[in-house]
Amino acid sequence: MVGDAVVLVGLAAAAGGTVTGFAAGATGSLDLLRHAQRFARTYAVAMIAACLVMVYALAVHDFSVKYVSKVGSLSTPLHITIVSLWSSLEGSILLWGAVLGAYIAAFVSWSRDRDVEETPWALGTMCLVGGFFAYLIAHPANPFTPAPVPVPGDGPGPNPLLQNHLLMIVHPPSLYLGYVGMVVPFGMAVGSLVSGKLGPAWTRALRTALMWPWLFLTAGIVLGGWWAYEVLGWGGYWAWDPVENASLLPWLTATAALHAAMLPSRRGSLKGWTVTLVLVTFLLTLLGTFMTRSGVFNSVHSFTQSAIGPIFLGFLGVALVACVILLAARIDLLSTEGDPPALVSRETGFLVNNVLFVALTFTVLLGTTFPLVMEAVKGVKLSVGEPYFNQVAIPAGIAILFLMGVGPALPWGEPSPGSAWRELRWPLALAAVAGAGSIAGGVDRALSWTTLCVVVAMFAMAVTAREATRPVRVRMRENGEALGTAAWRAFSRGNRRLGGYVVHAGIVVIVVAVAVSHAFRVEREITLSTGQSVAFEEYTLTLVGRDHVEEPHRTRELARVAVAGPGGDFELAPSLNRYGGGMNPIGTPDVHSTASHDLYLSLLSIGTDGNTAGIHVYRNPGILWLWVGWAIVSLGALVALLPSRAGKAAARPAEQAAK
Amino acid sequence: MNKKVLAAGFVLVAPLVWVLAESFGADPSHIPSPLVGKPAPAFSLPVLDGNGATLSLAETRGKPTVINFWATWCDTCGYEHPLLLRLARTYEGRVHFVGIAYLDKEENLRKWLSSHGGQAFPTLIDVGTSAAVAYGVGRLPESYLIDKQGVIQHKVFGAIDYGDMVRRIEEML
Amino acid sequence: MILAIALALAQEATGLDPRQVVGEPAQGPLAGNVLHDEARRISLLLRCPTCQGMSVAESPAEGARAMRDEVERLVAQGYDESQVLDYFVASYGEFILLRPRREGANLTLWIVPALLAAGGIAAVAMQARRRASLPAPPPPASTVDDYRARAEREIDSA
Repeated sequence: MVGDAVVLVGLAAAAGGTVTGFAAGATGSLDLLRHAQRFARTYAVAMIAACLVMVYALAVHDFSVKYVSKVGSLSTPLHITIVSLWSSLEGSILLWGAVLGAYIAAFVSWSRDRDVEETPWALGTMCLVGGFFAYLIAHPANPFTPAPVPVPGDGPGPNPLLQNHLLMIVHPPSLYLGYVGMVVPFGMAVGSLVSGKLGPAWTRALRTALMWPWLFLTAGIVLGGWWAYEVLGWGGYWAWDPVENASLLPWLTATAALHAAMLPSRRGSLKGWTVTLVLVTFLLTLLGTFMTRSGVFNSVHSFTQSAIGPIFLGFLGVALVACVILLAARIDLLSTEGDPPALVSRETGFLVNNVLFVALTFTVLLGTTFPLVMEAVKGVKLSVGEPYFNQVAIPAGIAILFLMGVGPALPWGEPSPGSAWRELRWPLALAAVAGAGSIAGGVDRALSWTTLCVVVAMFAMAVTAREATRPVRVRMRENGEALGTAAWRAFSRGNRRLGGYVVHAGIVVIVVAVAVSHAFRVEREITLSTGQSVAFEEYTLTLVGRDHVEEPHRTRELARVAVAGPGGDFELAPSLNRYGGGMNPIGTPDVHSTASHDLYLSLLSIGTDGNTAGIHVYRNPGILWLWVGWAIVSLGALVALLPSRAGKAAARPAEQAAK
Repeated sequence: MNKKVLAAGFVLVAPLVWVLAESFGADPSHIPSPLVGKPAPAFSLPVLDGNGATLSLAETRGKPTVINFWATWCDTCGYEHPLLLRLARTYEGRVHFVGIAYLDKEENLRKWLSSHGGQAFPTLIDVGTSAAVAYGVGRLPESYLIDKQGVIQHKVFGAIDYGDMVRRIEEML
Repeated sequence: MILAIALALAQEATGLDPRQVVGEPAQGPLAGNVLHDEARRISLLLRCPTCQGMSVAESPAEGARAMRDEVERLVAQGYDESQVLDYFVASYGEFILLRPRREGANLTLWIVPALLAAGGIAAVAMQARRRASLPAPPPPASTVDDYRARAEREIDSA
């Protein structure tokens, strides 16, 4: 089969790339590096081609291919058919491989004119990872295996949850672009460790290599939450499910790595942090993939136990051990001597930031694996769920938020007496006013954490806004530039710095939205008969009727509810969707979003006579701002990723020095 | 070689890999019952088609009892029902069989039972899920084997296995 | 109040007696909104046994909703949070709690994060204090500003 052949080409290319890459690194041979780059590009083409072959097979409903017979169906619409590529294990590993290939190809293009000592090692490492995934596709998780004879005429279609909502089209690819992309900084960090150097040019490249996948990973996580909110019907967006945690863990360490990589290269101790955090990030993505695929965890996402579980664990184990040994052997080469930072300085702020992120990462990992630990050690079955994670995450989140405010206001190096206080006093004053305002405004429910969160958030926002605009104000004051000129110049020369602060602002918005949506949520279960009305908060809900909609791949039962609210009247129609295959119906909620809150209706049951409906009503404040905050974060990341004049100017002399 | 990093690394990595490896094969959805070995929770529930009569656990004392939680909307329950009927007829008079309907309606139960071999043993109707919660019922069907003294000896998750049930009942007789 | 009595009577009708498991109710009977809020708060701590990790309060599954009613029945009679949780643990096991009991080995879940955060920050602080004891003379002001300016520039171009 074409697919099989293409995958084997990919596997061979990856093997070639690994060998020539490491050989090029060991010998310093430019020829070998060129070979490795060629192999890597071949790998990329092969994996992408394999993916396209499967998409084609899905689109034409070639049921002779086992994967198509497993997830394809004549009745699913075309866009869902393409989405079914990642609806099950084998197809999603194909996607992994394709995205991996694309990232490796991008790295090859970038590194073509930069013959730095680290490049061959980085490329070899990436090809090694690529080879492993190609092997998985070629053998244990092969989606191209022929379906058993007789070839079925139709299939069951992909998991109904995937057919329910458009967000499922973007969430997995985005997550994959994030997850898989971490292999590039991983390879680069390995390169650094082997060469014993982490210079300014390589660090800058590493930051970019981190930031792109970070952008996609953030999107993947947020879209996952958005999907859970819009589709699963329980009115929430994050449940600390093991697979959700699996995506959060690398995000936390990647964020910490980005910060650690920001520090001027004179600070040797943070080079060690940077490299370690990057390695850990990638290892956590491997762990996350394992958690999602192995069936070991009890989760909404978990697929049944598959053959790749033990193999994947083996690879993960080897990778973990190899990274530990590599770090232990080479990290001392990276850390240069330097005075430890002063207690009240921005350098210390960065160190504390690392500590907090690592502590939170470890805590989430511990909580997620604790049930497994207790079962393995004591044979006891335990659950560690949302109440626990909220309990530990809230203080951690507030501490990080506080640091987001204090850090940028702290001076570098040796603080002159009182300088820290001078920097901090206005934001602190603003925060105190916000706190007093919210208490006076009648916030008496869930008072402690929510108010503290809002206060700290105000503080962080004030500092962020001031720091973001500082270059503009400085230019206007010292160069006498007009606002427009100053703003443009500050933007074009300091886009990375500005982008970072915009991201911070977005995070503050998200955190406040999370706090508010949790603390002030109101919900109720009601049963309505046709024509009956009930009052809920500022709304009046009336069950108007019921609809039955037949679609090719599902039947839908809708309950039409007329809502009369202060802003106007509208109709919501939560539904129960029944898919073929005898599975339980899946409820789809209907949501009316405003700037201040969401009115969220979830259909629980429809009376057999068709005249009653059981509905769960929620009033969730602040949800819209979660998505707005995410948009701000993404915007900030993109601003930071723009090619900057200052960056290019600094890169040139460094590259001259490296040659 | 930075010994601290090496040591820290292995302290973190080894337990993690070990735990993950150990967890293969364990079914994450199989939860052992804490009630095994304890006296069965007492209940007194209305009987289907009993004209208001109730059946209480105390009435089953002295003979082994099999309590089966099920529902008409549960497919697996349908598969195991003929097995239960066979068991009930085989051990008639020596073992009590009791079915407790979980979140189901009387008409549904009546219709279903009459088309599936009739009622060989009483079917009780739970109030909400009170009895189910008292017995720790999670996913249907679940069955409990109670000995003559009223102590739960075994809990069956999912459909019963005929041979296994025979063996366990014989032990309790 | 009527609802509370009705619920209590319904409980009586089953012949099931929570007193056998958790003893006498610790507080007085609840009703109305207070009952609803307290029942929901406790339901958020109980795991739905047929769902994947969701709480009984949030799961739309019918079994979960019935368990919510059971919680409300118990709370209406005056059982407090620990009694209701104990009642469920007696029949389902510790698995049914979404937050493990704070005892024995479970304490690791709270001690480790606290140690990591506190220990890490302490390590950073101690490192910084080492600088204070170094015999380096305070640099003249202009050098400090110089350094600061260079640092800012490096960050801006970073």
